[in-house]
Amino acid sequence: MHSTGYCQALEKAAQIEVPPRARFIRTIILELERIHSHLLWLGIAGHIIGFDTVLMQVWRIREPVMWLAEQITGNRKLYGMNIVGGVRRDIPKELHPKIIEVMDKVEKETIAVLNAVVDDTTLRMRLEGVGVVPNKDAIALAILGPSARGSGVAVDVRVDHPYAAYAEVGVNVVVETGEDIWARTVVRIKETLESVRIVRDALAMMPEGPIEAKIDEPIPPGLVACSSVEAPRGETHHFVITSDEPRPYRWKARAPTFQNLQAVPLSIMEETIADVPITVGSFDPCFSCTERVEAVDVRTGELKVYTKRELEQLSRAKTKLLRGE
Amino acid sequence: MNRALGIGLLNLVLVLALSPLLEGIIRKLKAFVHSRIGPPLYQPYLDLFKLLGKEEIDSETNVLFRWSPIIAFAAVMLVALLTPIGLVPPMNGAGEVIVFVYLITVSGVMIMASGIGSASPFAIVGSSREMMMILTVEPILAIALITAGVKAGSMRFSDILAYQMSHPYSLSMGIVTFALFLAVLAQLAKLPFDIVEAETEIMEGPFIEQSGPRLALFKWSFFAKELIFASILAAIFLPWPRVEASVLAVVVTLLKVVVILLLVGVIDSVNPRLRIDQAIRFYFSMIFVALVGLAFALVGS
Repeated sequence: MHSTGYCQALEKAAQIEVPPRARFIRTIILELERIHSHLLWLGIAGHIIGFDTVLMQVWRIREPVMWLAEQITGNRKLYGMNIVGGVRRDIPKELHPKIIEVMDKVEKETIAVLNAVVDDTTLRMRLEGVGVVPNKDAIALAILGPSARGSGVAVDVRVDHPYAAYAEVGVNVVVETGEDIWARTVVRIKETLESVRIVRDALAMMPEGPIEAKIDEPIPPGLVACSSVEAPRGETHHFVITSDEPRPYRWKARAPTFQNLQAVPLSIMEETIADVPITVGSFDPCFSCTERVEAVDVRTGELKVYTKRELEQLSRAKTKLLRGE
Repeated sequence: MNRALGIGLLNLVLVLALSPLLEGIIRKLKAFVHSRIGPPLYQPYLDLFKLLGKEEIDSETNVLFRWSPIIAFAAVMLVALLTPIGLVPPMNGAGEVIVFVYLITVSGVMIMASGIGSASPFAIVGSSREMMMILTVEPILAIALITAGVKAGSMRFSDILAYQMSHPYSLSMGIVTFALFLAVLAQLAKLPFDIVEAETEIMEGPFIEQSGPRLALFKWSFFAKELIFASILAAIFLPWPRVEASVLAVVVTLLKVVVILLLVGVIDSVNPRLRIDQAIRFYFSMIFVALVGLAFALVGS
C-alpha cells in the first residue's frame, strides 16, 4: 500500500505509463490488504470489549487471505509486490480459481459475521452512541477512511482521485450516518464485502500484457510529485523529489492515523474508562505511524528520544548541509 | 460428629481439588467455541502450581494488600463447609443461609481491599467497580436464599434440602432461580459481567499488583466459588433428579454442576463485556425480579 503510493509518485514525476495488467494486479493486492486489515481490526475490536469469540472466529476467516497473499506474492504481509513502473510478479492463470475460492469463502463467512453482530443486542449496547464524532467535526478535523465514512463523510481516494484500476472496476463507497463506533464497525464489515467484489471483478477484467513498463533512461533529478492511496485506515499521501542518485532527494509519507487521532479527544470526552479503549481502537490507530524517533547509542547503551522540535532542527540542518549553505 | 467431620473433609477436598478441573472444562469449552484446541484440562492445576512456587513480591507493604488474598481464600473455604454438595452440609448450625451470604460477601470485600491496598489507579477503579457490584449482586443472592428458607420455614440448608425432597417445585423458586443464575455470572466474574477485572480496560483491576502465591489464592478461591455456586444452584434451586443424600447424590450433584458451568461458559463466550452502569441497571431489575419471587413465597406459591 505504501509501496504503491511511493511508486505512483515516482511514476507521476517521471511520467511513466504503467501497463494495464500491472494496474489491475496492484488493485487486487491493495484490496486483499484491505480485507485482511479490516478483519484484523474487527477481531481486535472484539477483544477490546472482551468478546474473544469474535477475535478468534474473525481471525480464522482472515487466515486464508494471508495464505492467498503468500501464494501470489511470496509473503503473508508486506507483499513487496511493487516496482517503479509496474509489479514484480504476475498473477498466473492457475491461481485464479484459488483466488475465487478464497473470496467466496471470505464473503460467505463475513456475511455470517455481519448478521451475527447486527443481531447481538449486548454488542450494540456497548457500541451504539459511544465514541461519537459528529459529521461537522469529522469534516473540520479532516479525519479519513472508515472513521470519516462512519460519520457520513463520503471521502475515498479510490473514487475521488482514481488510481491503479479503480476507474475501471468502480467502487461503491460505504457510508454510514451513525457517527458512533457501531457505524465505523458496520462500514468496515461492508467494505470488506465490497473489496471481495472488487477483487473478483478486477480478476475477471484483467487484460493480458506486460506487467512492467520499460524504463530505459534514469529518472531525471528535481522532479516533484505527490500521490494518494486509500489505505485500509484512510488516505495515505506520498511526496517525492527525485535526485540524480538512484534514490529520492526527499520523500515524505503521511499515514492516516496522524489525522484520525485528532478525533480521539473529542470522542472520549465525558465517557467512562470502560469506553475509552474501544473508542480509541475504533479509529484503528497505528501508533507506530505517529511515533517519535528513538536512538540507542550502542557503545554506552544510552537511550535518546527525539522530540518533534529536535527532529525539525536536525532536518533543517541537513537541508542546509545538502544545499551547501 | 464424626460423620460431620467426614463430610467436611470431603467438601474441602472436592472444592480444593476438583474446582481447577471444572475451570479446565470451561476453558476447553471456550476454546471449542473459538475454534481453538485450547489448553489441556489440567492447565489450571499447573497455573496454581506455578504461582504457588513463585517468590512473594511486596510492591506495597500494606496490610490490606498482604492479607486480603488469605482472608478471601479462608472465607471461601468456610463457605465450602456450608455448601451442600449432594450431602447435608457439615457445618449444621443455626442460620447457615445468613452465614453463607456473609462469608461470600467477605470474599468480595477482600477483592476490594486488595485493590485499595495497592498503589495502582487501575486497582482503585477495579475496587470501586467491585463495591458497586457487591451492592447490587449480593442482595439477589440473599433474597434467593431467603426465599428458599421461607418456603422451607427454616434458615438451615439441611431443612431446606429436606423440604425440597418432599415438596413440589414452586413458582417463587423458579423466579429466584432465574435471578440467582444471572447473579452467579457476576459472582464468578464471567462475561458479560467480568467488569471488575476487565483485562483490556483496567488490566485485571484489583489483582493488577498481586502476584505469586497470593494471586494463586485469589485464583483458587475463584475456582472454588465456581463449584460452590454451581452446587448451591444444583442442590437447592434445581433439585432434579431428587436423590436422597448419599454418595450417589454427590455424583449427581457434580454432574449437574458441570452442566451449569458449561452453560455459564457458553454465556461467557458469546457476550461482550458490559459497562458498569449497564450492569448495575440490569442487576437492579434483577433485584426487583427476585423480590417478586420472595413475595410469591410469602403468600405461599
